[in-house]
Amino acid sequence: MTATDPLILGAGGFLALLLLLALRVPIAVALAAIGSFGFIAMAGLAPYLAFVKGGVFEVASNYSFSVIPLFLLMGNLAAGSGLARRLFEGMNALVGHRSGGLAMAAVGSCAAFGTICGSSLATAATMARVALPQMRRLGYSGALSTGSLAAGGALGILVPPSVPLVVYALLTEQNVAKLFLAAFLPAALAILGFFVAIRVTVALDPASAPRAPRGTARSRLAAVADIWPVVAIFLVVFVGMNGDFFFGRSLFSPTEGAAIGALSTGIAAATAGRMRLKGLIFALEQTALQSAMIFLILIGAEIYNAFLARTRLPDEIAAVIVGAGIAPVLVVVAIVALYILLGCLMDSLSMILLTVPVFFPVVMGLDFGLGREETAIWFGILVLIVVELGLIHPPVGLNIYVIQGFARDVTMAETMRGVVPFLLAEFVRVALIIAFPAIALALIR
Amino acid sequence: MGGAGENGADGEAVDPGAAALAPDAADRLVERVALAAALAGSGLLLLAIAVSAVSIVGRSLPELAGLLGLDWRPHPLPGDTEIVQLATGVAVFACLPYCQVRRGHVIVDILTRHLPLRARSTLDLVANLLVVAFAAVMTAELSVGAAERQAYGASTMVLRLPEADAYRLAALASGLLAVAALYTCWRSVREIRSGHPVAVLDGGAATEP
Repeated sequence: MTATDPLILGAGGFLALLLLLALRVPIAVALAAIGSFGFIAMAGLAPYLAFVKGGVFEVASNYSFSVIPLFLLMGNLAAGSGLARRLFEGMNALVGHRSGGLAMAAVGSCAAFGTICGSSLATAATMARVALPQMRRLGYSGALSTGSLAAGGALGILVPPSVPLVVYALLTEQNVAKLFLAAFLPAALAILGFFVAIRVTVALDPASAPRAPRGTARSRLAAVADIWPVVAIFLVVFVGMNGDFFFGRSLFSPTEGAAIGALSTGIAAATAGRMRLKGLIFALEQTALQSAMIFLILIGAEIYNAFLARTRLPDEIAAVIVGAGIAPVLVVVAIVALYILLGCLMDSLSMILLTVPVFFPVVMGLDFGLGREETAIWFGILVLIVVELGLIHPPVGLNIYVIQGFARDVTMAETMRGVVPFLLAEFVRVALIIAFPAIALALIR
Repeated sequence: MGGAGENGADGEAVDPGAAALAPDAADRLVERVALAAALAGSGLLLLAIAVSAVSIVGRSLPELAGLLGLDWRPHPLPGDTEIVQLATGVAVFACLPYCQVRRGHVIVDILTRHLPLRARSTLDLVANLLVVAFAAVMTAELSVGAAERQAYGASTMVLRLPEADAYRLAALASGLLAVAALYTCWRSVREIRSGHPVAVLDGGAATEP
């Protein structure tokens, strides 16, 4: 074989993958199919079968991956727990009476719900059920109501726990707990940006958000106090997982943290939310569907990425880009732009699995004046934010569709218009994090 | 309350004109069996949770006792990570058939969502055949893996859990995935023939994380 053969095979495989995706083949299946053909073409049948024999169960039983189904279960228990209503009431008591307050309460409670739920769609759906009727009843415009919830829901994957962040950590061999810690300030920045977006929207169009009455101090205090189970669960999981940050040594692994989180969310659901067997079974069923969906993609990606690595295509691409002497920041901006385009086609997890093996070596080969680990973590946070953007921008924008499913009286055009201010806030945030990596790195330094 | 799935969040376009065919007895049977496997699988997650919780509590007890001035050192649960690994490994495979039956996989349908049902079902048939093939390869290789591990008595480091058993269960679940995928091929054929979608038990699909 000549030296170019594997590269052509790698590029051809990628094109074939895109073709299969366009033809409705599930992402997991397309990855497994192309990966299998490519692997066999390069290495032969016997090594491929040996790889499947050892590899597929290995993916599912990898202790670091065990965190994923546990986080999913935690999120599904949270969704059925009734804690979402408490959160919204509590946030409402804090900021509801202010200008645009209900929308801010929706964003805030989405972020808080994200601390016990690693899924953006579940966060958007759960909070929409609670917050949307209240905003509409008070006379909030359709665009602001749905826009704030779609954007707020996207915080579900940014606020730890986050399944895509776990996958990034595993692909790039980074520390999951550190990535979670690093996501913290950027998430706070997102909330701030969304608040500004709400305020500006309301200032431009005061009719879009009538002022809500302010409750008595006593009732407001009671509503805020009622969110304690969420705070408690978050503190146990987050502090326990980041033990070395808080008191010098880790209390438990991310997987154990997820187990404790699921257990305590289940207890909260059963006591505060009166979840019964039926609710538990529904949560288990949803967890089964989501786990299967994610792990089949992980298995497919394992095979595809084994093939891709053998073609050395990622290394060659990295070498070309690094050797071209382009300013590192420009490369990152180009990657971010590409992610935003890809977000028009794909879900966040598939994007991460497809692109990180290619982009990560590129970024690691460039000099940003950061250490290796810092570069990896900063890039991970950046990737997470831009893949999350795909949830709230047309045409795929799954969050938009989720919210739309609850807001029958709001047109799609209104919702699309409603997310624009939030998208602008997000672009500002991405620019800030590119310009100041310290936003992502301050807590882990 | 629950995930976003039941609200059509999967982006799957439904032909408003074409009424779904009601599931028949065979549809129900496949769905029930796959659901049972999925619930057994996610039940294993509960086991993993219990084991982790006991382990964490167990190893913090000496410290808690120390705070009270007691010297109490109960044995921590050893090898909890091994149970968690094997349990989640088997659990994941047990969930795969149900996802296949419920059309739960992530697809990119931006180019094809406006095609007529027959065209979409034809493409789905191709995808389902690919799942049959891949599930068959996994079943065969996991069975070989189980036999090999049986032969040299592979077991986990601490608890000496037999890995062959975990592989056997995963192979069994992969086999079930192959059967479920064959069934979805047949379902696609029925949709192509009749021009009507075949409804799954309660509609909807899983959603992305």
